[in-house]
Amino acid sequence: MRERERLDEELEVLSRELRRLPTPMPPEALVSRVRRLAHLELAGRADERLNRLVLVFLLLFSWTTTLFPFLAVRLLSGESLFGSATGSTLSWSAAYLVSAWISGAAMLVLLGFHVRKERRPA
Amino acid sequence: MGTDSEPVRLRRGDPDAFDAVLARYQNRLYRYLLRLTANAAVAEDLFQETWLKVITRIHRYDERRPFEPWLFSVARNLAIDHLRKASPESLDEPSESGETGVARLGADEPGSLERLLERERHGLLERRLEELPALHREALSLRFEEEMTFEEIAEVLSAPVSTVKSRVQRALSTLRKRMK
Repeated sequence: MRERERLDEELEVLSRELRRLPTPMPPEALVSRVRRLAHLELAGRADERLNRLVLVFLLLFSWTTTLFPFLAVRLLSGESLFGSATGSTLSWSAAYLVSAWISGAAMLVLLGFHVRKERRPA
Repeated sequence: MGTDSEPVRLRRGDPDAFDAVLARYQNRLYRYLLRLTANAAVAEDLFQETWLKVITRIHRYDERRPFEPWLFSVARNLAIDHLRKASPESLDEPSESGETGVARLGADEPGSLERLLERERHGLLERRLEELPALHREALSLRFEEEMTFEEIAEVLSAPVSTVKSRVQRALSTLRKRMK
């Protein structure tokens, strides 16, 4: 029993000593380097975020601008705005709209893959 | 401003938040890496790698949980990768500085005999600590230097709390034997 108490006391003393060990400081040059590299990394990531936003905006813009000529063609040819397309011009216009939207969607998917790849751990 | 709001701001890419988090944890993280690797150069490399990894992984941090165990687990994973690549012998190499407590005490530094003895004792304790296996050094450092709870240590180590408790106890007993 006494042996056990002595052991506990010794471990307690050792724990206290471990708590009081001086804290080694990282060299100031290292901390400055880390700060500089981190700021560069953060700036790079901010640029990437902005680029992605610009790309998404351009995509939405391109979809909108392809929609307007399509609607204009329909109006000028005397068709209703949302009915099925009839006649050669309207068919071509519809095909143009669909292909533009599909290519935009493909770009969006590629962008999504790129973002996921970036976030995946190395 | 609370401790956890800085990591959240960091996730939004705020450089000031990074500076604040770095200032808050730099000493403790460096000490942990130094204890784990027992090598200043390796600890410095890992210190840099850890902070850069924090930026790329910050979106994975769950803001409802404390930041500290998450940060230490990032550092630990990098350290383990490094230790795995290194030869097994190097895991427990003694530190490069064989300096004694007396040598560290500057000649012109005013100090009492108690301070000298305390420094000697600290020096001895640090050397004995470095002789322990890396897992034991890590457990003691997290428990007594970082003053983490067993639950927090378990989170850092991804191990059950019971394992952590027994590891700390074993490490402490081994250290006690070596101090004799």
